[in-house]
Amino acid sequence: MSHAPLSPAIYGILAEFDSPTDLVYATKAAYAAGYRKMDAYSPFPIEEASEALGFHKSRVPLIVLLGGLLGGLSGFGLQYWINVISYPLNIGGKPYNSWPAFIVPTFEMTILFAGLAGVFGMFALNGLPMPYHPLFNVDRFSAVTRDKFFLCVEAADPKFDVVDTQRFMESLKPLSISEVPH
Amino acid sequence: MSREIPQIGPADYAVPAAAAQWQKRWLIVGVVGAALCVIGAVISRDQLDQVLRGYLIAYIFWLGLSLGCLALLMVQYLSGGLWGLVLRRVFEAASKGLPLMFVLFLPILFGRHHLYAWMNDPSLTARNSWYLHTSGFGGWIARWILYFAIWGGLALILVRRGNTQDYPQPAGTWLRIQGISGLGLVLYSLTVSFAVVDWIMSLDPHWGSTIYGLIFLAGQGLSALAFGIVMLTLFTRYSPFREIIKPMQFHDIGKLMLAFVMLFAYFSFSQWLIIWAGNLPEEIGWYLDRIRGGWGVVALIIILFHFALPFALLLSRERKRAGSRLIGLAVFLMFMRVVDIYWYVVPNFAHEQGHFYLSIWYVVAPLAVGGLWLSFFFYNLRDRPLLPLYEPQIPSLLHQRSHGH
Repeated sequence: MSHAPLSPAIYGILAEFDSPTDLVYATKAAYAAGYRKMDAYSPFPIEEASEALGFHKSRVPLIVLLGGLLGGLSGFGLQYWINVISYPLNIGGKPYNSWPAFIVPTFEMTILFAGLAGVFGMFALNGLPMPYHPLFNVDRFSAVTRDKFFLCVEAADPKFDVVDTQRFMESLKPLSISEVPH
Repeated sequence: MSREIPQIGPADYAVPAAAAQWQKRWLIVGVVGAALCVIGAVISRDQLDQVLRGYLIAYIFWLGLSLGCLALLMVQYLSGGLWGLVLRRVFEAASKGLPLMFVLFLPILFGRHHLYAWMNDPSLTARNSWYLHTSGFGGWIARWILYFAIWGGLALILVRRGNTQDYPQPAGTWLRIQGISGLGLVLYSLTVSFAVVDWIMSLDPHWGSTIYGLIFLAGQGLSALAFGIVMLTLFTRYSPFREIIKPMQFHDIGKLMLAFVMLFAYFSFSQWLIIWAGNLPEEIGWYLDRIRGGWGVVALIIILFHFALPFALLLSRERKRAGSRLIGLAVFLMFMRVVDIYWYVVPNFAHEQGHFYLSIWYVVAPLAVGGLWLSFFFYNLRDRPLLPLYEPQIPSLLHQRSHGH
């Protein structure tokens, strides 16, 4: 396989590392070198890697909050509607709007909606489900779910250059370097 | 990037010199407060009653802080985590306050006839409290000694083990301390549950709640985490702790504090929900005494400021990551713990049932005991380096230092 220099056909350049520490260090170096369109891949979340990528603030917490509020209000509203408006029953002489009894289901609905909003909000923001991704064209990348750590600088980055970027990434002393075809 | 641990000795991690000043200042507060309490106690019998009630509030809070720290010390030995490693010396020094709290129980022991109605009239416990009735005063005093023997024993073992971490360690000592911590947490939960029944719940010998102990366990954990945040924030104003302790540690402790705020609310609400749903004459009176006649405002303040506001504030990630943004909330939560204990204790007494009452002694006594407790805390804390240098997790703590900029 040979590539013409400056080929637009590649997705990016992928470097493989042995430890989270090396990955964070490499990511910081790449960020310092001016690369922005890149991503780090690891078998488990590494908070320092997100920071090193200059990770923007995620909107997931806001979606979770809105989901929780919606769940809580609808949970309480449903019970209020049933017990006060739709089918009032005298239970133990207590008021129809016996709010302390409504709190537990309200709480559960808050958690349920917040949890679902978190999962599906994350899916939506990440563009999932994504049946195809160029990174899977690199065989070695499958180790990312086991014990290897990857940094991919994408060709879409304005500073990207097949030769220069490859040389720069070699300077990070990775285990391997691969071009990622589309 | 360097993976080496810098060549440093325990002296580099000495407690900042300012702690000596803090020790002295709090001692003054403690001594002046205690003197005021003694004066108040001898003025008149009415005042003596109020001083003792304030003292009981103070005692439950500050003892709870020592015990909460002891419990978190054991939790951290079991779970690991840098959040607790940076607080280990704080937790140890707070645990060393237990002998002081043993001695400070004496005013409650000698003032018991002013506090516990059933001490004067044992027949009060006959109807509803088999536990207090069969053991009586003898059992009550024997349990006081037993609780402190267990708490003191655990503190002694854990602090001694902690002290050895200032020196190189042979391998294999880790598992033993984990075993002790696991057993210790079981003992802690049981003894604290019984102790709060003996010392607070028995103020009303007719009333019982099975979740009572858990509410106080959650409260103690919350106090200890809040206190840990205050101490850690103070120490990060000084080098080298400013460079070593990262937002990550505050974030973790902040998350735990949020969890304990919710746990406290969950336990407290559970007690209310069951008693409200049952609506039995012998149970609901306890809440009516704490809602009517102005107490309802205190109850509302507890709901809003012990739960709702801290919960909302602690949702913010940025807030949890900076000690400077957490310290105010942490101090406020410790204050709210005192308010909660005040709401539990004071409406038990005949005149205050359904009639709001706030004595100056409910403020002076917590400051007096707090002054003595904090002074003794700083005295114990200054005894050792602020970080256990040969603890196995220390390299990962110092290593994160080389990452951070």
